[in-house]
Amino acid sequence: MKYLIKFEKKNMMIYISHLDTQRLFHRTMKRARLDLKYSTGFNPHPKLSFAQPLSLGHSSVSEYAEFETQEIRLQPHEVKERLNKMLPDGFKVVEAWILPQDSKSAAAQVAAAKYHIEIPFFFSYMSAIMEFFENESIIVNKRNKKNGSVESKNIRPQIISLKPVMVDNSNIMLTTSLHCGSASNLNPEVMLESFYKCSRKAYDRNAVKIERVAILGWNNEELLPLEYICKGDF
Amino acid sequence: MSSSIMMNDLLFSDEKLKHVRETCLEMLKANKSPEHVIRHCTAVAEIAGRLALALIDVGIELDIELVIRSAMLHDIARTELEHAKVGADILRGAGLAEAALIVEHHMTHHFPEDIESFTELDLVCIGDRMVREDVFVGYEKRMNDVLARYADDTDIVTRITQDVERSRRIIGLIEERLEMRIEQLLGFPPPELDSFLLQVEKPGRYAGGEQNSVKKDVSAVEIRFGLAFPDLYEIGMSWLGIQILYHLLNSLDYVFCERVFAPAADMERLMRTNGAPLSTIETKTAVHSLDVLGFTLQYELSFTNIINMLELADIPLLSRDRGAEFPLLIAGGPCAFNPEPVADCFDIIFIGDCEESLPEFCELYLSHKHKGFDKQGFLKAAATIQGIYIPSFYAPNYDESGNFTGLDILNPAAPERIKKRTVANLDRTFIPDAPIVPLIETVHDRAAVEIFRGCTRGCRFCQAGMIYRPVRERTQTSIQNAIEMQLKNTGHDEVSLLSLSTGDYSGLEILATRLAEYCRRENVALSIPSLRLDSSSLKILEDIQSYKKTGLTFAPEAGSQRLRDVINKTITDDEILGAVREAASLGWKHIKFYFMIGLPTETTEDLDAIADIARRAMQAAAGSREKGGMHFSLTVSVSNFVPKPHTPFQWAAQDSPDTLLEKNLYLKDKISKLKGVKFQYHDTRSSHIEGLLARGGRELLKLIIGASRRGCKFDSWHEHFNYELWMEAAGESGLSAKTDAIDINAALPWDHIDTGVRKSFLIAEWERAAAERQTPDCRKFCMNCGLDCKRTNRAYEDEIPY
Repeated sequence: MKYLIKFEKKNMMIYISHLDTQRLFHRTMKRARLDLKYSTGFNPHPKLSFAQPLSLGHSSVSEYAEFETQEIRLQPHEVKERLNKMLPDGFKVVEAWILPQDSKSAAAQVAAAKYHIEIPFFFSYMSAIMEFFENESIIVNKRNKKNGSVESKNIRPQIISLKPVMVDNSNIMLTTSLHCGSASNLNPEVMLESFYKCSRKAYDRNAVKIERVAILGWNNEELLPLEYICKGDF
Repeated sequence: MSSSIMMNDLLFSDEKLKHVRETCLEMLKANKSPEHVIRHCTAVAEIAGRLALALIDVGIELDIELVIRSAMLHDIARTELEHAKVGADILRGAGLAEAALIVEHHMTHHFPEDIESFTELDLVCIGDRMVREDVFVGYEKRMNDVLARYADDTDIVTRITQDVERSRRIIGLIEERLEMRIEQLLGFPPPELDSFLLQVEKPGRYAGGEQNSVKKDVSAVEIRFGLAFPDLYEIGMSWLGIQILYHLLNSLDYVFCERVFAPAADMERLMRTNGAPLSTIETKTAVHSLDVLGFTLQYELSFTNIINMLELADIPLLSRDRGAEFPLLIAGGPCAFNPEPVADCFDIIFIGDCEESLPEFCELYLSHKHKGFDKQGFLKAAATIQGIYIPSFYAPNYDESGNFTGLDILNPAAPERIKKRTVANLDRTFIPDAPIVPLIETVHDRAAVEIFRGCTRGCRFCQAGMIYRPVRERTQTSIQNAIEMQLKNTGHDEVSLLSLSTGDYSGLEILATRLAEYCRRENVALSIPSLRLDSSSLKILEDIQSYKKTGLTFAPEAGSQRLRDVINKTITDDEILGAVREAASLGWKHIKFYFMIGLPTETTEDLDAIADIARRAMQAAAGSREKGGMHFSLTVSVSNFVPKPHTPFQWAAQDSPDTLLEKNLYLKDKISKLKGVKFQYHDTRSSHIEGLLARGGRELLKLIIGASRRGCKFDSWHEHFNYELWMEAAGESGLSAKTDAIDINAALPWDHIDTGVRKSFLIAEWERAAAERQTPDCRKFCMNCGLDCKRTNRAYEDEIPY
């Protein structure tokens, strides 16, 4: 049976990498006796995959993983309960669904992601956001990991929305939707760094909290949370 | 962070400065300054003054009185429109020209580029820009305030915004120079550890919260125990012992055992600059507030990490300097069999297996805690537990030339020799059902079960083979149960059977076959290291690794038959080559040979024999390669012999690092001519330090602390090891750094540690080595080493119950 789960990654668990998260889920599924299906061949791998990696240090209330089990009678709520019993504090499955056998991989459906970003308060934040967002192009320099050369890239088309949602004396909460996935991907930290640069302010990663609140895919002209796209029935 | 500045403390205990402040207070009052302005000025003076004192300490020239005076008076005219200018005029009127200049410019000043040209004005401005009224809030928060207040005045906003970068820079430079955060200087509590985690590599090392880690209600336990591994998390968590001791201690309801590891360099830097002390993984509790802190002594090259960790924990290094307000420091592990180099640091050292003595210790601690803990009284009582050594009850003696001559016993409760503790039956010894599963990848990321303790081979260089005697096997049923429980509770996809010489386990074939079957069913890889490569072992490996032949390792240790006789490694050239031939024909493509150089009696011929056996191994493999594959390769890995206490070679000389290097390079040259053979060798200089520490006495602590003070740590990590610093420390300590042969009649610093193996046996073995005579495996023929195996060892029983 094929399942899709949506889970949270919070608190201390934000400090473990994507790779470690994958290993953790694999082990947790074994402990939860979910009896994963394995690929055949020389080096059998469990049929378990994640929709979209989350950067180290970011929290999330909306991560997705899909997997196949040998067992076919297990109800989604049982999958959720069994996993939650075994997951360490900081991880929590919020929902589980059965996927059609022929569903496209979740990873392939990811088009955008929505984040909440908490930054320290500064005066004139509103005009800074407007100025940044109204730019027709925002150029960032990206170092090519393979050959070390620096490439410049316009990230403006990858920013779908950016606005403040909550402001108090010490913090500003921004919400932003960015391109995400294999076709076009923008890490919120790259956007944020560029925002601080445009606003002529120093960027301090340690003073910033980033949380992914949704992963979205296209349904006709509309961006919807991933489960609607994967399940195919809405 | 915000906090009121404490008045009248440290700074103003200085009479002269106090007088300056009093005079200024009078001026402020005479000038009808409001109360809140006076409080603000006093706070700024406190901060600027303390910063000034700290900077003067590191060699910056400043007039401290001028700093206090101008800070106290900088807002004397704050109620006026142009308060800086008016204030300056008032001060000039009072004949305070220098202070007047500072007051005049304190609103418009730009910080300099470097702190060498720092002036009193700079300090007043920094102080002023870090407090909100009389509360310290730090620079960033304060600037936000100001920006908000002058929101309508674009001039001021622009000016301040431009100044922010420069200010941040100068504050950074000050903190760098003082090696601490300004918050720390002002005595604020350090920030939570979490706030560093985004700034360090692999933050998962410090996160905690792993599956099967233990959390207890700290108010409901009586002993807070720290189990410390003096290396990085991923090293410590790969050690089986930490899982056993952690869960054993936590199985006692009155004990809460938490883990402590050495922070990596990046984390240590953040901890030091922020004044954050070393803390536990589970609850982030400062280590110095625990009841007991236990270090494992796994390898000599971790000693400097112990010193560094104690310093990070703010715990005095020496047992005699610690009262009951500090945790009791204990240690155990293989290096505890000669703990002398670090003995003065510890209150109690556990010799031998800890599975029984540690709970006994905890029980005793609890009863002493209930009747009012007195350290000396407790130590006296603890000395009666078998396997417990109290270093402070003994004092070393030296002759005129500084040679160790023996120990004096200072306390009547102390036994003359400390007999090691041995658990009799592994099946009845604690084994964790649910080991902690690390969140990040560790060196050995797998479930592991110890299938037996001890070894009967009697290799003369091997410390483990002597100190862990006698052999005690776990039964097959117990092994299988442990593996099933561990896999069920961890979800690991690899399990490993551990021992010193797995091939010697009684009935290994049956066990391996059963486990291989089980593991295949569960999609778990089975790994059996420490096998001797003979036909039966190869058959087992063939069975468990049928689909993936990774690599084989093989440890002949010496190249020539003669030298193998000396070290008592009972294997012949024919057996080695036969195993290679068989492995190659079964499809293995890579073999690794381990050798040691610098062994007693070694000659050039013995080195040549290493290259020769490598050459013949390649030939043997080539001759038997049937299943295609022209890519057979061999790695020759050479390590440097280090004589270890309690072995027959404990009296042997250790080659100097230069001699060892010469030998390594000689071999490298020879072996590089062989096609398909790779050569690996070890740093000879770290082997030198290892040897020095292994056979050292208490006098070595000076050297270890000296090296640590110079920055030595993580000495077992190639990239951190710094030989020059060690040599500098050795020079300063006045100790000889030589690792010469030891006279067989000399008193040894570890003579009082009783492993159960008689010294006469070690001497006999040392003499047999010189005579190039082998000693048989003691399962086959008892050499009467001193241990009462017949009673304790089920491997010797007639019937083996499986």
